[in-house]
Amino acid sequence: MKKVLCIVLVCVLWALAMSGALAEEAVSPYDQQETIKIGCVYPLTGSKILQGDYTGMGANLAVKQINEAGGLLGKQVELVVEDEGDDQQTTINSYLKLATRDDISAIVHTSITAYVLASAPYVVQYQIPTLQMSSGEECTIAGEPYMWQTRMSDHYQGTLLARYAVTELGMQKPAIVYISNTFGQGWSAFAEEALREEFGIEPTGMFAYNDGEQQYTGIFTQALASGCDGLIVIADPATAMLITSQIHTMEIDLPMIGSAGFTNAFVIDADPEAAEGWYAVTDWTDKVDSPASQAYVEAFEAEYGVTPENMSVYGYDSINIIAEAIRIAGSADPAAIQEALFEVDIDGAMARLSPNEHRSFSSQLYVAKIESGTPNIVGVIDR
Amino acid sequence: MQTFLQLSIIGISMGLIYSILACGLVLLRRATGLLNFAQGDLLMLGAYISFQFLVKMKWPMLPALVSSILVYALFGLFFMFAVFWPVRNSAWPQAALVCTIGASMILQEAVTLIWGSVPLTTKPFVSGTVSFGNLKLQNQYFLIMATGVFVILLIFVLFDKLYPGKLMQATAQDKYAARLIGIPIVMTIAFTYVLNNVIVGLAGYMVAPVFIITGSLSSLQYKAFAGAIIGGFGDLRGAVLGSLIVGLVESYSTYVTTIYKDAIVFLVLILVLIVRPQGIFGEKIADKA
Repeated sequence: MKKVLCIVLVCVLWALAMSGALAEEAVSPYDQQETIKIGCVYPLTGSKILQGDYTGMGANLAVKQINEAGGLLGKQVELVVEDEGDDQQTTINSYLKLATRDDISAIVHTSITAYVLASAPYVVQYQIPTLQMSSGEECTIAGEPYMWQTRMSDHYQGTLLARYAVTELGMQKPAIVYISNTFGQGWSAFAEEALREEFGIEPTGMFAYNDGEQQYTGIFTQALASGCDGLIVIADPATAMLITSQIHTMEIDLPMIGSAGFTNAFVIDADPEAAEGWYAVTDWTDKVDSPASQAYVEAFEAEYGVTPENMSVYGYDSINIIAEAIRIAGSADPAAIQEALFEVDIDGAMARLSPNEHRSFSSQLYVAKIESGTPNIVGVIDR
Repeated sequence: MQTFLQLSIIGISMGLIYSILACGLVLLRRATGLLNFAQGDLLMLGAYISFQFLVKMKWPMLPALVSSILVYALFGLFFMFAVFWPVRNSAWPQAALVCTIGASMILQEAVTLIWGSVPLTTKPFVSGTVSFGNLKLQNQYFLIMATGVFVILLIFVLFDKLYPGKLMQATAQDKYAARLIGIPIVMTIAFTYVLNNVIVGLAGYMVAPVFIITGSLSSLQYKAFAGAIIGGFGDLRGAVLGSLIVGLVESYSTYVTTIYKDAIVFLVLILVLIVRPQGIFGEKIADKA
């Protein structure tokens, strides 16, 4: 009898001990790495390398600052970069190279809306929290719930463009000239919708041009011939440079407002006279006077010797959003980061960064006017 | 009417830019049998080299121009020995063509490595605009047109009147026979490449002030190809006329559409190929019975 009791007691004690051991939290393999790895997909080659250069500079600066401050969770952060190249398939392949590794905690993804959309099924499949730098509204929907957006979406930006054109610049018959890619189509569609629904205004014409176009005189000749009293122009930075220069020679005396590319320093510096008087809606310029923005500008110029452009701040703020989520989660595990992203609320270089219902972080847009070679902020719009 | 006139002038100026590229294509084709898919990239390189001398090194106009032409000539020689020469006797006739595609990719990345990704600009050589009522056109466009006409006339005179042109044509028709009668093949081919690169580089030098200097400048070659084919590939008159047609079609098509104007140009190309496959000045080659 005593023997039986002893055996039962040992078994019960053993069972209690085992349940205690099993109750201990399993340590995620991501937290067992020597460094915390954040993946990045942006152009290292190809026609969009300009965006890639600035994005990389911003992202690397953020990582450097984090590491110099002691890293995250006591570990250094490592950026793992893959080239998005010049096409969709290369971008997808690069995303998959990162997503199929077992050590990437989160991914900062391209700023090209079409490439983000093409990657969306894999974002959902591999469940790595992915912060994409495009402004395409449909991207976060396609990649739900793991796709996040650093910037404010096209819907806000295109709408603000139209509102400012009418209410501040007095346009009643604007013409819209836009690049024919997803970015230009998105912005122009939302701008046209806002003109029609908020003001009952139809644009005098919607003039699209192809990426890589060299000669804009004919296009703007047609825009002017449509009888417009103002121009809304949507262009990437390289194109904005060409458009301002060619329009300048046409001596157009109409109010003009453009997309963010028109505020880039190298666009303005190429021909300050041509850029004079242009308005632009942008996520950010180096003239945003918040403490976080100015600290970023100072650090960027000290590190690289050039003025930061908005493409660089996308990379910078994206890394800092992920870093904050890792701090909140107390873990580098993607699942933990995914949950923690909902709680992020920080002062980014662009603006206050906290997610809205569409998982989009940036909360402010700016209207800039180019005056004497400087994109001065003349309006701030909260989300 | 004002709009039509402005579009016409723009169309002619763009057509002349395309015709320089197209003439270079025809030149290479007639002298070496090669179709060069890096032609637009050579124009792009010409623009970057102009930036190097004029902006980075701040040289005055004339020394910069002379130095640029020397660089274009030397690069033409390098291009020939790097791209064409290793595959000149390949059993696969398209080998050299494929090599030019590779050269195009290499040039695109090389200019980014050397000059960076930020678009570059140069100042117009002749500042100001010319006004015709409401029409305004940069003086630089007229310089481009004048240079284009000069280059085209130069090529015509070379091929039709001068002995080196005859040598180049003989080499293109039959290298073996040309060698037999004592024509220096290597020198002739080298001269052709040098001439092509100087012409195209000069075009890049001239257009740099009106377009920004980026890799996308190379896309001008697609319409040059279309112009050369419309005019009758192999015929210099056709290259010029075809390119002018392309420039004008591209310009006038903005009456209908701005986004599909390139598509309209290539639609015209397809129609010409259907109606007159040899092009405007090309000679129809009948099948042997």
